[in-house]
Amino acid sequence: MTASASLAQALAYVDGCLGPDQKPEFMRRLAADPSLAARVEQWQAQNEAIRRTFDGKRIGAARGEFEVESPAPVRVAPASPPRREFGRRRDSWGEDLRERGPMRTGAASERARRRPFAGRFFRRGAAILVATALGLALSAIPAPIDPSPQSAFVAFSAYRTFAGEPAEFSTAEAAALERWLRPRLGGWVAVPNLRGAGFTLIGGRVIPGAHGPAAFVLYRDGAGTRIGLALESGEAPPKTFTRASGALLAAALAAPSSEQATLVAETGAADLDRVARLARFDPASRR
Amino acid sequence: MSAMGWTAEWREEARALEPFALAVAPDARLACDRAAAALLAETLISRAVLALHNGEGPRGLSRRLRLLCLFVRFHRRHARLRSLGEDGGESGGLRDGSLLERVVAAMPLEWREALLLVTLERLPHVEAAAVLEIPLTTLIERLARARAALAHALAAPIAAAPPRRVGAPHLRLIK
Repeated sequence: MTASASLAQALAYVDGCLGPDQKPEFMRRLAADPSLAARVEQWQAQNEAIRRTFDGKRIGAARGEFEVESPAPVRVAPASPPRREFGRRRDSWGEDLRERGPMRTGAASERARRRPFAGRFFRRGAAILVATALGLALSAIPAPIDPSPQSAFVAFSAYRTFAGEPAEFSTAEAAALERWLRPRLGGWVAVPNLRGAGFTLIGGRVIPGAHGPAAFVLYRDGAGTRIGLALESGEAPPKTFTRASGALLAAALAAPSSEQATLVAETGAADLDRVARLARFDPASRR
Repeated sequence: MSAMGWTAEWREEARALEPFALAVAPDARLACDRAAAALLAETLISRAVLALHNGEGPRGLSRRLRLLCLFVRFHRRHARLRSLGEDGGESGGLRDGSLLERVVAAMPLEWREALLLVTLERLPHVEAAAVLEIPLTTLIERLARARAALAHALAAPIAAAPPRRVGAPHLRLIK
């Protein structure tokens, strides 16, 4: 057996893809050759270490880079009492007890001196319990879900991925693009006309949206500036917003029905507010 | 299949690719930290899933292998473009992670791909070669080199950081 064939066999054994017909012969070699056995053991340990280190890792939500100007859900945190307030009450309570001090003597007086501290402990504990319970109760109330950040993220991701490349379906005809997109998006879609803002259609592509397949449409103006539009079906049109994040700018487009439409461009490349105002949805293209 | 189920399938496919993508994306030569690697992995995964859905990728492979192949293609392209734009600058190396993570990140991309496909994705050698679009003998050679480099680096003292690389003589665009 050549050296390369032997190496291939050993690697295949370690990686669990050695054929059953080759296994008995390899096991004999393994038993006869201590250096091969040591090497195989080392490789098996490498496999274990790699799997232990990398297996099951998740990307997680690394999506906090974009914020919209829509109001954030209000969450009330349990407020802890100000320290000075607490101290003042403790002092006044102490004075109160000192006023009653002469009524007690000996051990009773000692207990009375200690009571303010015990009382303070219990009052503080009770306050923490009440505040925690209040906080838990308030956090259990479902906050209103604002879909705008999600749709803006979809638009940003799509722009980063596709803006520098040809669109998947290249056409200047919105109706043709709609015909191509509709079966892929489950029926809904309306590609807006941005000619009023000087932008002509280049084409579009299907992208994964926040709630299902979405459309990403690219436009270009006479100067070569590209802007993207993410269209996704949603329960309600997004709130109006314009926001820069890094080198990109996003703006919500007022779609006439249940589509969420988010325009995206490089910062400074286009006046997205103006484009959003001049966008027109063709009534004939409604479903 | 409904539109929503279709998307759920996409998401499941993307999720299955995450460990491999997170392992292969950090590159010491590109001064990639964990957060940047996660962002790159996420972008390339979504791109690979979309390309798969749009019918790209080699025919004759299973859906999972085609997705892996597309991810590898996009990652190679990214690495090549980054290396062109690097201008031979000084690399800071992978700043965080365990010794094993740093050693893997310092490997040439071809070795790293081969090693991780076989160990982490548990692909048979024939399938790994198909995903990487290379002959089986080339895969065996890369695996042997990767394992030797790994053994050498892990046997060295912990303090020894992976060697800094300038430029990318080992990075070639295969396809």
